[in-house]
Amino acid sequence: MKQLDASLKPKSNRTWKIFKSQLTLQMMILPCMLFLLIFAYIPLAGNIIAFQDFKIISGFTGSEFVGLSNFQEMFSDPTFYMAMKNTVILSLFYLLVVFPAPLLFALLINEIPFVRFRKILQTTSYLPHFISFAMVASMWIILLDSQGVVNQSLLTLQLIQHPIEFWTDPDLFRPLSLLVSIWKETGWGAIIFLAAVAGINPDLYEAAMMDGAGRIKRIIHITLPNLIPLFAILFILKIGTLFTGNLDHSILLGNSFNKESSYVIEYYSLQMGLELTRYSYATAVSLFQAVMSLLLVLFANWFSGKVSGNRLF
Amino acid sequence: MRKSMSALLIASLLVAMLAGCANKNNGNANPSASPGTNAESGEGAITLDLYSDRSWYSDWTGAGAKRITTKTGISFNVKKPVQDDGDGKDISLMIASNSLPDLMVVDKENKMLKQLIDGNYLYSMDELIDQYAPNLRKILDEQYGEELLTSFKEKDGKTYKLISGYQTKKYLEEAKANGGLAPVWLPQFVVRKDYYDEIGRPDTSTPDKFLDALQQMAKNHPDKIPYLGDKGQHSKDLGWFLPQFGIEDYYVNGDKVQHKLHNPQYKEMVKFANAMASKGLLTKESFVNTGEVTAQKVAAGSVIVSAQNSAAKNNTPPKDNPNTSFEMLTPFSTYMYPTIPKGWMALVIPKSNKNPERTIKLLEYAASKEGQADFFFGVQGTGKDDFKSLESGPHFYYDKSVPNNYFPEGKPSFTTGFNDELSKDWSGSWKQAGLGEPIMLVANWAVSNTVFWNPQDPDKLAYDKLMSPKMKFFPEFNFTIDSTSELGVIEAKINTLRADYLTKLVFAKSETEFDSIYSEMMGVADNIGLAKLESEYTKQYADNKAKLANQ
Repeated sequence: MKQLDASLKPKSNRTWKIFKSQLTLQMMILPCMLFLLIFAYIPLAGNIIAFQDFKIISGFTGSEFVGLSNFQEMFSDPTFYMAMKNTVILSLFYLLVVFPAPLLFALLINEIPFVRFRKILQTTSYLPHFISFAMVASMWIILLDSQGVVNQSLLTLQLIQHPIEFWTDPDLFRPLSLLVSIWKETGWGAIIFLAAVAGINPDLYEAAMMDGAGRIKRIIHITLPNLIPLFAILFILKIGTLFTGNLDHSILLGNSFNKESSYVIEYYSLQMGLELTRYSYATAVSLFQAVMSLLLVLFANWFSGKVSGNRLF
Repeated sequence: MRKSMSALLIASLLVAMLAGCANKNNGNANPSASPGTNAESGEGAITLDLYSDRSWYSDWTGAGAKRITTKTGISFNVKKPVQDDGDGKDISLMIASNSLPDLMVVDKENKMLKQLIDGNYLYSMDELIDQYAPNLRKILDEQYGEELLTSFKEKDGKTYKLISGYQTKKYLEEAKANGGLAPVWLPQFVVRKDYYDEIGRPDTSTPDKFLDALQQMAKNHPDKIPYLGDKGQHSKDLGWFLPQFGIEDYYVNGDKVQHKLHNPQYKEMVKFANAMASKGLLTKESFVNTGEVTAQKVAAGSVIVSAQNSAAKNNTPPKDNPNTSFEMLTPFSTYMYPTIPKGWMALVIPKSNKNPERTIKLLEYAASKEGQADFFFGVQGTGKDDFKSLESGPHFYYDKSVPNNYFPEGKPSFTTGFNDELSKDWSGSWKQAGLGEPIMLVANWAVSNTVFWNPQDPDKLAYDKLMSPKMKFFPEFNFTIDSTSELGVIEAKINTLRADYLTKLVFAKSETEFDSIYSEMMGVADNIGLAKLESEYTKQYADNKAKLANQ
């Protein structure tokens, strides 16, 4: 009877009881929740200016409502489409090439039998992550300059007659951007996979070895399946950036020669919105990006759940 | 018990954190709360909040700033961006958060200045001057030029900005008299002297002659880059070629004022760049390299002609030949450097200022000759050999042998020791001395430049004689287009379009291709709304002309 009474108690009462019993833990999480509320959720209300002709002086309440005119202007601007096309293409390439690179790198590193060498390789590979992108960009620009080491070596070896115009050929921007990203972030990205590999039960490998499984088979049948859930979650999180693009690359590696492939939506938002202090327009562009990203994350989450059973939420 | 103690501790931590986020009060809100110090002014010491949108602005901790604080009792709590913020993002945030400072020293083109004025956030200079510092009006009128308080009136007839570096008639006369009208930074083609001597120093005063000379030097030194500039100089516009072809900012075509894209001379200039590129004399590097990369290549001796200015002659010789130097080539006969007189920096006083009386009185002192000397010349000595250290000077003395219109004691001149330190490390020495532009509030170039002008230096006089007739002023082109308006967006789009098409035009493979790309660009410009923008230019041009005629 007592049990029945308990089950009949209102849900909110139970929640409050649970909350009270976890008071210390709840207090610990409270600053983070407040941080999110203040810096992530409350500013969402600011998206209203995408539908206004926002003037700082007039504020949210005094600025004129213009409906969808900012969006209309955005969709009628050919530069927006160019930026959008570049963003999506570049992001797709990142997802296909740069994103799996840490996984492959982690698998390779994991197979190195010499612990010391493995550690040196691991450490040196994630060091580029700590260099600011401005430095990285300058370094790569100088390296691939017409008088840089790469061109001079190729010329000396007579493999080319004229220097390759690495940074001014629009066709080369995307592969170079991917290369720079792989160089900078692969080592860092591999850490999480290496940690996951370390967590795999060694008995599985032992059993597989006793069954005669070779190195490749052990990777395919034990390591990879154990990493798939983590990979799926990271993929869901990453797919949200498909409509974001890489502003660093666009600004620091882009130029007027490769603009047709380097100019991304964030740069567009920065130039057409913030540089002209057109906050409403910049917000409209960002809102569009955010909605598209959210839809993609929801889709990826659903798709991942359907295919592999791994969902983020 | 332990649980509740932990909860209590976490709660107190949270409260402490939130308190940390609360509005920081620096304790200076009430100036009278600060006790009097050794300020010579006799008034209590106060700290004012100053915002500058320039990253180079001082943090008011240097030796010069300290001397001024000791003299006036006023110090500044400076806020400035890491990167120049001409777009006014910082000011937008200040308006939105209702936290405007006591004083702002920003670029005169800062996009938020207009909003500050329209939003009634600023004190009018006229009112403050009349109320607290009537002598400032006299100083500005007599020493700077009447234009400062007449040319920047807003629609309500009041002046809200105190503009520094405005080329008033008075300044122009003074600069002319001192051989200082033409600044050293005018864009020039600079050549390696050894290579130029090799080909017999031919005339380069026309585009064709320049091309011939460059081609000869390139032929003699095929391993060198014939011409090199950087992306800042070339990618948005061919900034180093524009004055050589004498191109004005706008094109006056009969009754109409058009964008310079319509100017036949502009097209001619791009064609010239195209001719250079087709001969291999201009490469894509000039549109891609950063200033640092280009400077390294020039210093290494890898470049024959570079985009620099007349000061390049003082640079260290190229590494591959320490016995030569850089020299400025004779400009094209069509050279003309157009200037739309708008001034340099604008000082405004927001209504949030905690002590407008002290602020305007400080400006009265800063604008005076005494103030200009303290801010721009440093510590006064009695003779040229007085210099002891960068921090304490003496940095300057009055040279009786050179007469000066502003200083009856003679021309202010740097002491020999300070000059030597500047020659050794220009920027480092300025930084250590802690004076000059980084602490400027208001600058009278007719005074502050006197230390740099030398009417008895034959080299400087020769340069001024050559270049000053090539400087032209176009006050009638002083147009105001609000960047957030429809016309502002059109203008921005046209500028982007021009930059996007520039490289296509310069590297077009034939004249037919060039013409077709140019037509295509003009077509796109028309679609963007160039005609609408040009009719606004025409209207404002007529208004400005009428206004100038009445002055």
